[in-house]
Amino acid sequence: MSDYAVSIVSNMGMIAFIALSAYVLLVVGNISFGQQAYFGIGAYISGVVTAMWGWPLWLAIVLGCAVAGSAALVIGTLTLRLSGIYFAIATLSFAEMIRLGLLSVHVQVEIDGELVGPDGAEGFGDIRWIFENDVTPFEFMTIIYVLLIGVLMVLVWVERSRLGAVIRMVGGDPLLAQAQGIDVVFYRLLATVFAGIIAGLGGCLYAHFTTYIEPNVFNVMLGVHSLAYGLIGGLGTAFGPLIGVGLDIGFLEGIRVFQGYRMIVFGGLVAVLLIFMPRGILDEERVHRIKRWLERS
Amino acid sequence: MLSLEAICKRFGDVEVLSGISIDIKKGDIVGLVGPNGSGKTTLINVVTGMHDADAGRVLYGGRDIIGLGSHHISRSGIARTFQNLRLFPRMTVLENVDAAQHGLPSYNLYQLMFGDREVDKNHRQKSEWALEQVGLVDERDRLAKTLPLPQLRRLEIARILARDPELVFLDEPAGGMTPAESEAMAMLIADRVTPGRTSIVIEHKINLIAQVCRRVCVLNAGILIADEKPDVVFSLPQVIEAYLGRRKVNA
Amino acid sequence: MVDFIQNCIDGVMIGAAYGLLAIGFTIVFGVMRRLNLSFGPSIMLGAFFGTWAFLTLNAAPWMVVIITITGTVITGIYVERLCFWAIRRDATIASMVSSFAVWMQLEEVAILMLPGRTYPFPEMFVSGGLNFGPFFFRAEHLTTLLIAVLMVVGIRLLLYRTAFGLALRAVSESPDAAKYMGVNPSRIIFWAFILVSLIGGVAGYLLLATDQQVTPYFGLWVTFKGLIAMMLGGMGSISGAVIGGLVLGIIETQTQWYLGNAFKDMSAYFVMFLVLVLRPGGLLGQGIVERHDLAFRRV
Repeated sequence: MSDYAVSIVSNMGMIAFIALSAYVLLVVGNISFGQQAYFGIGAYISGVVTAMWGWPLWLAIVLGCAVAGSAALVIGTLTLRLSGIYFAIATLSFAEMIRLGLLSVHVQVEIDGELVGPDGAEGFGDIRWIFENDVTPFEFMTIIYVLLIGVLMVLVWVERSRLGAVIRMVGGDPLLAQAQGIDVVFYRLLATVFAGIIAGLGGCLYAHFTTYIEPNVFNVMLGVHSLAYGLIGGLGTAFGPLIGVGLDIGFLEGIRVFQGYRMIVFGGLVAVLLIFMPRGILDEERVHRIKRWLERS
Repeated sequence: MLSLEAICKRFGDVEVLSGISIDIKKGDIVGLVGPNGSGKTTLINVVTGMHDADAGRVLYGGRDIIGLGSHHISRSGIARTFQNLRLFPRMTVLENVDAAQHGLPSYNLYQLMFGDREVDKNHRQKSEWALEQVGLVDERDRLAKTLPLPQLRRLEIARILARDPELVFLDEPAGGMTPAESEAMAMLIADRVTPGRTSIVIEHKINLIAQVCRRVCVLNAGILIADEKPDVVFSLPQVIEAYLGRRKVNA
Repeated sequence: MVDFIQNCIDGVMIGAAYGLLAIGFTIVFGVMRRLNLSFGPSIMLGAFFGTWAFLTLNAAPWMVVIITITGTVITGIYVERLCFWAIRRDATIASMVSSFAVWMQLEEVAILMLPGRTYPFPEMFVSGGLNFGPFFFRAEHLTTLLIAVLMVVGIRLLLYRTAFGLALRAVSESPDAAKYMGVNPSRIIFWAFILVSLIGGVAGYLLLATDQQVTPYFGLWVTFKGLIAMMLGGMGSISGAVIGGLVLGIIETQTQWYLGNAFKDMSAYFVMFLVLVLRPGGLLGQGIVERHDLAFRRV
């Protein structure tokens, strides 16, 4: 596989994490413009753990996800009373605060004669774990996809369980769910924390793949894109956001012929698609019909 | 079983409920009627925990349930339907009936995630049975949003049956139905829902109330103005006045 | 103390333009319950047309004004037809994401038209300033404030004294009820977009002529300012939008003066977050009431 292809496929894999994160929140009924904050937190924390403290990668991932999940819990609790556009703007504000805050973080240690660590707008480079451990891009790509498949399996399994039904109930009509005995607050927070962890995991992988991260990567564009992937690919299943990611990154990279007009073409396609399929390609109805078709044959 | 004591509720400047007190015994089948805006649905909302009351108590099994939160109240055995028909439109009929049981105390988080063979089987059987009772078995795999109104109303009843609560509030179960459909709904409620279950039914359709209920409470402008048997209550002067207005007396 | 007051003055004047942007978002959200993420980018594109005319055709300032506003309106019509009119009324997120996709389109069009990061934007037709005691009033700021005030008065008159305004308010409250009254919601929304694009074009021109430069990121910038101002003052009210804009302007100038550029934006977001968490209805709003349908807006 060419280096270029490995890079594209790895990118898709990492972005898939944040797309799934936004998707989980959409399913539980919240529009989030801020999942990039947890992606960024995961990236920075894991970078600090391996590049500055010299600890192993698995520990970096665990810590990155833990911090991202905790942040999600805090923000989730603060925004409990909000929904719809209020929630969206609140998450956007939080994410921007994180990004702007990171621009002012200058914490570096000296390792082997060089300064390593987050340096505000100059970014955080030298996240060397893959070089120090002789991991090829192809091998790292497999790590990404093994973890992604793991997350997918969890999501698919939850979706088929009663927990998945409860989450969709909370997202579909929280008043009705509450009237039927579901503790909406608990399940909303559960989904929020899980979404934060998924995004954080993606961020950890991103930091170690690119070896250099800077705050402006984790901006609102990334956040709204990840929301868009779920909506384009469909909210009926966890594979929906993956389709969205595949369409954007894979397709766009593929049609190099449109160089310079890519966004015009892609933007137009998305707008037209949403006219006919407002809940995405694999929305609940289509998934339902596919399931019935599979059962019958 | 359920005791409302001097319930008061105001929204902004409007006093929607002014000191409502009703005592409901186990097995009572009570109709709750009154002109539009008299506070019927608000009363249900307060009892089921969707609104807080400004004053008064609601005693259920001896405990004051005001301020408990609707999911706690639901789990203690009170269920309700909705006047403007609330369902999960993107789920199938069967999934909607199943959904009514996910919130039962018999399910904790672990069981929701991993399932429990006995409990799951029980619940599935209950769902199938409930659909049978209301005649929706053939529609079980259809998405709820594709169903016409009368079937959706029956789906709400199926939900109640599957949930099997001790106390049920039916908020305009025949809303939007033709006389023939209302008649069928009245029979369904009288045959399947109310036997052996404490029920409170809000309706505008007098025939349904008369057929189903053994006692009727009349609300007007937030005040309870009558509490009698069906055949008596509708000839009471204050009830007629509430619905039709005062008769003008010419000199 | 003098600094503090000067900052307030400056803040109010910049805030007046923010208020106009917030009014744009408010009207669209009020009448459609959907967020138009392409509002800022439409203004940006209109401004790019203006700059292009300025650079290639040597257009006079008043010409640039007209082109900017017209460009914004035309783009606004495109956005309205594609992202809002064409999409089912209850698919709110689909419209929002669609407007985001169009945002990407508009940015690319702007970059194709004028490749490069920053372009000069012609200065306003007035310049210089006014001294009043220890305080200084920039001419551009005064003009901005004056025009903003005129526009707000005009908008209020339009909303409360004309048939169109009544129809707009009716559709904002309940499109179905409005239909029964003979109002065509789609037509009203279309004209609302035109109105909003006009307001946006004016606000954009005022902001850019003061700054005298324009970049493709102007769209994002406008979006943030407008949204924050709208939310600060409480969604759904014109006065709220204006107040929110003024408050935002003052917060910005004060924090920039005392804490430096780095904290200017962060404090705006911080205040925004606090307001949302503590008083979700905004500074002028009533806090979210149970029956408020915005609070229960579902996916």
